[in-house]
Amino acid sequence: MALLNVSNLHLYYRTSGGIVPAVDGVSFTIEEGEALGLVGESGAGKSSLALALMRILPRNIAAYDGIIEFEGVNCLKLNDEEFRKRIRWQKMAMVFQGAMESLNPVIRVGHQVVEPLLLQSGIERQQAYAAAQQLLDVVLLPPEVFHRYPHELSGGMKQRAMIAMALILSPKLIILDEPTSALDVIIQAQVMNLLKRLKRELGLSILFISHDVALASDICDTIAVMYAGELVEKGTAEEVLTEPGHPYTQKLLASIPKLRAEVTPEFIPGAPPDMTHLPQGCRFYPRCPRAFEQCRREHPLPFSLNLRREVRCWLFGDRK
Amino acid sequence: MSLVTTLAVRGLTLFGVLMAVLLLVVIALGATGFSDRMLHATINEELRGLRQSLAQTIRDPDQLEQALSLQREELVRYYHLDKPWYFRLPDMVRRVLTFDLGEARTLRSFEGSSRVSDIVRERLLNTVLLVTTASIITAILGLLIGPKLASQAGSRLDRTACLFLAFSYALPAWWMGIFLILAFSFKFNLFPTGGMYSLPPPPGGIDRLFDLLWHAALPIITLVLVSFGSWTYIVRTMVLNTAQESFVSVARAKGLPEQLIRRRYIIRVAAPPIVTNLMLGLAGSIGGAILTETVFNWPGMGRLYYDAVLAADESVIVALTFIFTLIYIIARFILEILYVILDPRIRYA
Amino acid sequence: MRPWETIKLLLASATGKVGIGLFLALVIVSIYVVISYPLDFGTRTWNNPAVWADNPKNVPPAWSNAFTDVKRVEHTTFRATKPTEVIPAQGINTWRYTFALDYQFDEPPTFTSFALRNVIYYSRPPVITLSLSRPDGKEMLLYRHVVRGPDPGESLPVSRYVEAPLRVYLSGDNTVLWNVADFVRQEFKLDTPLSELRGMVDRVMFGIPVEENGQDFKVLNGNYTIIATAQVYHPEDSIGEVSFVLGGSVYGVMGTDSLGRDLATGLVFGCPVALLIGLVTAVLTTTIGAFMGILSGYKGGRTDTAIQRFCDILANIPLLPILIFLIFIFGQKLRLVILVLVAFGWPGMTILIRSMVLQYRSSQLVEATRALGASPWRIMFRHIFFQIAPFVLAQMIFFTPAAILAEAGLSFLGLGDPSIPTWGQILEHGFRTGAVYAGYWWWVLPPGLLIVLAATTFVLLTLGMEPVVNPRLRQ
Repeated sequence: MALLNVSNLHLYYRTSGGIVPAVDGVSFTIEEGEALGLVGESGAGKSSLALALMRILPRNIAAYDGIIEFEGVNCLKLNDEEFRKRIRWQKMAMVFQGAMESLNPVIRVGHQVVEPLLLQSGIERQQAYAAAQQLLDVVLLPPEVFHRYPHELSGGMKQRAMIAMALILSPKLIILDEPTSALDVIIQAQVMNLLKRLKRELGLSILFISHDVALASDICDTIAVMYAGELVEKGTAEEVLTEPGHPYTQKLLASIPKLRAEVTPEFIPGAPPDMTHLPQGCRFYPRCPRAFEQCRREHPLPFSLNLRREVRCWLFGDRK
Repeated sequence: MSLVTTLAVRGLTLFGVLMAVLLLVVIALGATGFSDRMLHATINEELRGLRQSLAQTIRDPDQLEQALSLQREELVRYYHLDKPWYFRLPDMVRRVLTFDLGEARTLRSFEGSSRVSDIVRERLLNTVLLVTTASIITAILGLLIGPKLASQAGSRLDRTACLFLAFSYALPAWWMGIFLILAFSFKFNLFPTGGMYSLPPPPGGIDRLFDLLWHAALPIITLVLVSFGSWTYIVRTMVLNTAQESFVSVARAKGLPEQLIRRRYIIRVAAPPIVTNLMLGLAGSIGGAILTETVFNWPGMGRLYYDAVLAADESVIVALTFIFTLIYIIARFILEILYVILDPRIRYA
Repeated sequence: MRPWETIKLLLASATGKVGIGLFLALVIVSIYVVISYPLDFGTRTWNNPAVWADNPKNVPPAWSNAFTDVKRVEHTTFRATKPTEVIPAQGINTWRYTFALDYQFDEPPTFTSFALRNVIYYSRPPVITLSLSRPDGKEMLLYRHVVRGPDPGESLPVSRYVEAPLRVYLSGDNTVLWNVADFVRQEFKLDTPLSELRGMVDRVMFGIPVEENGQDFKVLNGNYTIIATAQVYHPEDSIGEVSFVLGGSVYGVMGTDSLGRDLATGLVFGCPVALLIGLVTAVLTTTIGAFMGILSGYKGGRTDTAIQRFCDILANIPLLPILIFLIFIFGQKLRLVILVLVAFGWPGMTILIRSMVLQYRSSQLVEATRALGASPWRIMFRHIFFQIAPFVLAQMIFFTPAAILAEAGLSFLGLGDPSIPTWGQILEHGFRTGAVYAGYWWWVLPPGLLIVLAATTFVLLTLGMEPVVNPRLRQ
């Protein structure tokens, strides 16, 4: 049984311009110990997907349905209170985008890390504090960070503190939303190494959200590409990166500058669609170099190329 | 520690304020000749008393006048009236700082003393009673209602409430007091029209206490009604702004119960800017106290200020201006300490 | 944001609409005042007792009559420049002025007075009498007066009562009192002592004794005629105007105060004054504050620290006590009030603006402009200022009611500028003369309501400006 099984997940927002289908029928699975990379442009819906999984919903949602099965438990069937007590942070935890603003400025770092643990019954303060201290160690933060305030830490340290905070209840899955976009390259490498180690040593499953395909490829076993609220391609990292199926994925990869090649990076012309006025056919149609008539008329279904591989594109319309 | 330095700098600035006010007062008095007039008036008073006592012993009118003018010269020299006013500056400053506030010209304390310090001391407690009670009530109301409104920001309730709050900011306290007197004392005869106790005041314990409360009711209601509006609006807005910060979403993601989030992540974090706004509103409450006490004839320092202005009693006015500033500064400083305790970020500014 | 867009955004919300509506109302009233009132209204009209001499004192507005059971007396003034009748006799003409009055009110008038203007005589001074003909057939002689004869050295013709009229308050005049006592004794056979009749002259004039005790008088409704006669001794003599005032128990749109002043005129005059105080103070404070704030925020370094320390000190000075003190020392002048408000107000603005400027200073726009070689002043005032302009405008609007309220508070304490009547001063006068305790609601409530209205206008405008300042709140 997969650790996390997401099937036909929808999350729609209600805005003054209309209904925005931020997550529109997304399905994927994550096994234990697997790292899934979710890549795509800004505004594709990646963060919304993360929030949907963690059930952190804003006030203006128009729809929230589908199946989110964690270790067999259908999360959407649980009410808010149950979800909070049983799933959130205990089974699934999240490291948010922008660590700068994610920590409470008036509470010491260590206390914020240990908070969820203290709320669990059957654990003593001393034990909890020790566990938090140990986690800080695991993320390679010096022990005195426990007593520091967030504004006294650097960006990289804050990010690592957030990771420690996510691990406090020993979740099986952590979701990382652009964990390194605000960091410089050296810190970025440190954090990525840390994540790889945690994955290896703790058997942690990871959902790694990033617009940086190269970065995702460093740690992820599988990659899912998201565009305009849908997954347009899924597969093992190797397959997706070496033989991308969907034209969008191909364009995405072609836009990465290569250190030793003579090729100039391409860019993708046009802009992502207006989510309140989506076309009836394929959402990538206006920008796709290989589009044809059917793409304009009919919305493409996901076609399986093999067991782990799916591409939502009419180019593969003959497969099933 | 940086905590101490931050506070020391603030304290020094506030002391600077006190000195600035003092200098302003003293220079204004000196440069416009007021202080000269004050001192001449004092000298005349003394001489008049002297004339009466000397007239007993010296029968010859010429000798009398001579003796008196000699005295006058001595007094002029004693008060440094023969030198320009800025010579007297350091002396005046020193006296005010040591609370040697002099004598009132016409006003008297309840016991009949003419010493300004006596007069002020009697009334200090009355004002503190009124203002503190009103402030506590206002604070509690704001802290209860503000977050409730913030959690429903944008709803009909919130928008109508904000309208009322805005309206309360435009309300002059003293007019509100007049209105309340007209309505509740005059029309409906529920509360007394002014004063602190009935005349004659009831003798003992509980009766006296109730009489006091009955008299204090309308002034306190007035003070609360007027500051309640902007205070609640500020609490609401600060809480609203804080609730939209990322770390609040993160706290929810961490599975923390909503109660805890409200306390530790919203209100606790919104506390520093709320305190800042408290500081800004502090000056207004002094003015409010002066005006409200005047309307309700409450024998406090505010009313004393009004009476002093009406009677043109210079020494009392000067002393009170100074004392008001002093109280304001002390209150400010306490709030500054509170702010530093609440917000760790500025300790290392 | 363009000005037009700002106004559109303001009009979008309900608060903005009401705010602008009220503001326009205030402006229209102010323009009306500026056009139709003299500039020295304060000294020439408001504080001039002669203007209000004929008005009743302390009476509620005329429309309050509709809400009471008692029919209140309408204030009526009778004037005549020519006599109704001329009765000739040898060499002496008797000029008769008659004023008819149908008295249908339920209470006696608050006072009665008689005035004579512009008398010129060529031989003997005229003799004036005043009497009242009542519906019960009785006639009351009220008053008799011989115009003052020529002074030593004065040659004929003599003019009298030119600059100031002869005005007799019948209600308080001793001669009238004697005549009334005589009348009561003769016609009603009552021997009421003078001390009792002293406050009751008008009651007796327009009433009959109550059956039982005879000490009290109830109102007699019916047709009265006021007859003033002048015995004139020379054909060329002239009398400019004879007038009789029936003091009403209601008057005007807003009633009168203890000096008989028509409160409506005073209140209306206060409108542009309040607007002026508020806006001038706000504009000056904001301008200085914004300038210093931008300077301090952008320049940084020692300029910044110096300005900040200075502002810190000034902003911490409690306003009202200092204001009172300075007015006390330097005199009650409106200009001083505005000066002090501005002098102590701009530091607060500076601190706010500076924090905004700091945000923008390191923005990319500014960096790019710097890279293009723009001078610091240009950056400060063309670019940064445009960014923070909506916020500055909002602050300016927000500060206006504070100025209005501060001046009102000062006036209330009796420190207002006596040559320029303001709402606060009207209130102060009422408070000081005990109008509150006497229940004179028409005197005490409207000025406060107007102050609140004016202040609320600007508060609503500020609320309406919120979406402009905080883009997150835009629809």
